[in-house]
Amino acid sequence: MSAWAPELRVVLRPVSGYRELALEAEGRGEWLLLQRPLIHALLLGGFLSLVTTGRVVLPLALSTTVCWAFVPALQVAVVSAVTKLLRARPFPTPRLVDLYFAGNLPWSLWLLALSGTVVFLPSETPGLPLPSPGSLFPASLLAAALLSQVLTFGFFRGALGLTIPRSLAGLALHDALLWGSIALFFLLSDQLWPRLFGKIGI
Amino acid sequence: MISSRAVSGVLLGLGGLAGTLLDGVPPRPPLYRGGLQVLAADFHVHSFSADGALPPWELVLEARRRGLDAFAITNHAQVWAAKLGRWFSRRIGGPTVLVGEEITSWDYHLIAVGIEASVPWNQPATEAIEEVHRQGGVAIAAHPVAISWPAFEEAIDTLDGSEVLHPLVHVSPGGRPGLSAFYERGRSRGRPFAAVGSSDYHFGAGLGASRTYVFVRENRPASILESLRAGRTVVFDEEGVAHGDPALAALLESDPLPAESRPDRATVPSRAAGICGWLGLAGLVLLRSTRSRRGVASSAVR
Ligand SMILES: [Zn+2]
Ligand SMILES: [Zn+2]
Repeated sequence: MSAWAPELRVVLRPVSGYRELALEAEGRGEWLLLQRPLIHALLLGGFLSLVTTGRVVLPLALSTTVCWAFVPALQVAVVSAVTKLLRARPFPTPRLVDLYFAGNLPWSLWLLALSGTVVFLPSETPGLPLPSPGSLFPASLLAAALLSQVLTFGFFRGALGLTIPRSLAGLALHDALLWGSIALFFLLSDQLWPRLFGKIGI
Repeated sequence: MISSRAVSGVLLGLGGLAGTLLDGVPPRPPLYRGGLQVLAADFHVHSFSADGALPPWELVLEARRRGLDAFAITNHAQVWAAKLGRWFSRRIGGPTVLVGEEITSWDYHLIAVGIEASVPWNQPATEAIEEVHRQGGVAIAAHPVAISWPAFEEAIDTLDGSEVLHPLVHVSPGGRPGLSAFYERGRSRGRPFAAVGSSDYHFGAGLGASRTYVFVRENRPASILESLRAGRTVVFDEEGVAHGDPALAALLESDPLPAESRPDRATVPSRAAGICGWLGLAGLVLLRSTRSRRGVASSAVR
């Protein structure tokens, strides 16, 4: 049996991979609810420590894990709400959340790749946050975002067994709630409108 | 059998432990030139929970790693995170944190340093600068490339300085000529106009990579603000060319400061710790957990 995480199968074959995954894993325990969201929070913290200092500095990684844990927490809330609204809950919540987070792999790979450039490329580029060429950053971000859309669709279609129109509705609802909440967070804590619609973007 | 997740966890733990032990920063003695203390400062830094990645207290620790003596936390439209950073920095003995804001309007961005309350953004630059001055702060044009010049047309007469070095110069063809031209216009007005180098830090390795050398009587916010108002600053741009007060620039050119502090991430132990931590994280994400192995096995039996 392969030692690789089952998420990799989902990336290669989103719908059928998710269908197989839904049949396979066990669905019990609160640990299942926390496991993948916690790994994602930890990955965010580790990523930020690596790109800042080139190392995992524990207090820094833990601080940033706690600060940014609101993102996976928000994802848990959103997937619970969307499946409730669609009346599509073939599994208990912990199992549902675990399956949904298997589709987060594009973001995980993106975070690993970017922090990998810091760890494996020897030097800093003066004045820039990452050593990788600047244009790779937006291009890879876009690729991760698009692939995660496909995987979230795969979750609704393959894991929950919804029809294509209901899966697309689930994806749209998921995106609206998730990105809407993140936008609201920054709207409340930051100056969003002039930066989105003003002349100057940075 | 030991699971691959457990091995990943151990690698992450070891990488984290080594990374933390290697994190000490040697104390830096104060540097003096011409009878004044020379501070390395960064006046444009963003924190969590705005669009910066690091919380204010971690910015303070990262500023130490980067050899900064002072920096301003300048989030868009709020000052509470900066106040939290100032509180933390006072508890641990610096670097000095100045409370600031990047006033973010439709057509200009303005750095306010030394304020205590957020300044309304939806007003002309002249009025925003007036409010910054009323609060006892200093107003610096943020990344003033050509697109924001019209908004500063009148305001340039009341600005205290402008960013003459910003990461834009590395990525935008209009960056260097725009920042230089605006700074030269500002200082041609016949009054003090501070040259400022700022990192506009959001995340990653760049805190303090663009920096301002400020000549102060003492490393305190009031003294730093006084020096900014008086234009007692020097910035070395990406080509090493000095901008700012010519007499002070000459002092630094004849008697240079020690090399800028850069965390020595290229040393073997540091790189090994980084790679170990990264492999641990990668393993947690990419390798199968024991639970899902058992899950597959039991479903296969069924
Ligand atoms: Zn800006
Ligand atoms: Zn900024």
